[in-house]
Amino acid sequence: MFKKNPIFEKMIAITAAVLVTKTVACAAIFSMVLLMVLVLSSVIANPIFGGKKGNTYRAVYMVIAAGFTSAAELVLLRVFPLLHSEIALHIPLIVICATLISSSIDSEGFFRSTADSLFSGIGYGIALILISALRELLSTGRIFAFADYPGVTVFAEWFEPIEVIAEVAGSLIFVGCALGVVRMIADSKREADARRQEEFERIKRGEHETLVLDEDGIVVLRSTIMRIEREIMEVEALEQIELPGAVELTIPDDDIKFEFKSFDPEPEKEDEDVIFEDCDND
Amino acid sequence: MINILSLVFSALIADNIVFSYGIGCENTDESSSSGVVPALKYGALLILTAAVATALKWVAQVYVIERFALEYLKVPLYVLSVVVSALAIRFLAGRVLPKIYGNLKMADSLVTDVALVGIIFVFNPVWGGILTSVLAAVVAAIGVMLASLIFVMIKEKLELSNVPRCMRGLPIMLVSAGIIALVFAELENVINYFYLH
Repeated sequence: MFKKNPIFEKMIAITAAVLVTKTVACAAIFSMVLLMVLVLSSVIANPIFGGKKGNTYRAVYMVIAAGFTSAAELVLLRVFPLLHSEIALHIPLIVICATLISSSIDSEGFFRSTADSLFSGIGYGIALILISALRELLSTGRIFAFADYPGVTVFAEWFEPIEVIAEVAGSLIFVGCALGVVRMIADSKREADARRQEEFERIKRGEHETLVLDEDGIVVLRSTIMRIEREIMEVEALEQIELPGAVELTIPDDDIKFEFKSFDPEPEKEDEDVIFEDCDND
Repeated sequence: MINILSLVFSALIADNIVFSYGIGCENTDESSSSGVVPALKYGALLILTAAVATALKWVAQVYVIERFALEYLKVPLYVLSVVVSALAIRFLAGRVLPKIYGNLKMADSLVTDVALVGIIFVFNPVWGGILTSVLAAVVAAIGVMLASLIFVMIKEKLELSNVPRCMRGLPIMLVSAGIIALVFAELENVINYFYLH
């Protein structure tokens, strides 16, 4: 729908983006009819060809899509004549757009390709509506114009509409610029993702200057690892040093036993008052 | 005679499929990607296919749609004429001109050629018979070939200039097509002015 958008990524069926996006109403109705034709034609054509998208597939798909388009046109004419009047001139475009979008889908299997058709159609419709909204705003200062309804005024009187955008020439320039802007945003995001991935690869190889992977696979600062290693070394070194008079604390079987060693190597024997000989801490 | 001249003029300049209607920009862009010779080869194929498709369309229009009042079958029958003519020309290109059209990639793209569909659906002269319709379609296809050649020249100029990376390819070609469409629109007004005076 977005990563493989037919207009912004694959750049196919641009003609509809140029012609149909004069108003949001026209683009929305066109998208809905296109989605219906795309899905129904895929449901019929895909089982026949089993996922192979050659020249014959395109030819047969076009004829099937033309049938569904004609049926949709009849329904619109009878039931929703106002909607039909919006897209009457662009009906044949639905056939060619559906064929181009369906041919560009490279997934195999009936359900997968039908689902891809559905979401490609939705993505195409979203792109058309976005382009048409901007185009209608800039060319008229209003949006959502439909039949006799002039639309919602968005910009105040100070805004000078750029009427050339409503014409074919302006539409070509506008769609070209829109494609360029979207490609610029997508490229910057893609480059950022590629840079992040490359950095992670360097961290995994141990070539990064400041970051490393710890035992649990978490990225940590190299300085933090070095500090922890240094502290471990210091504690181990401290454990090996034997100080005279130091208190040895042993905890066998949850009993705490204190053994006091005298600081003087030769204790005074005159003093018979022995305060502590043995102390058991209960 | 004057009607035919005005038909030729309108199909080439005033009602050029690519620049006046905006139909088929992406196909003409792809066809002109290599140079003048591919654009001419594409134009020749398109002219042949448009002629055959228009003849089939005229027959379907007069002997099926108008005779039996089957207006709702207009889209399927027109599309069928496009498909049959594209497949027939592809077959001919493979058999008669294999050295020119090689792996038939250009002929394969005719089935989904937006310019061809535009010619069939847009150019419907109500006067004259089958020959007038075919002539109108042929001249319209020549107009598309003219657009392809213009795109080739633009592409050669753009390769020497510093186009931003995001605009390379189709976006800058669409912008160029828009500017030329403005020129064509004004050219039509100028020639109409001289025609009326």
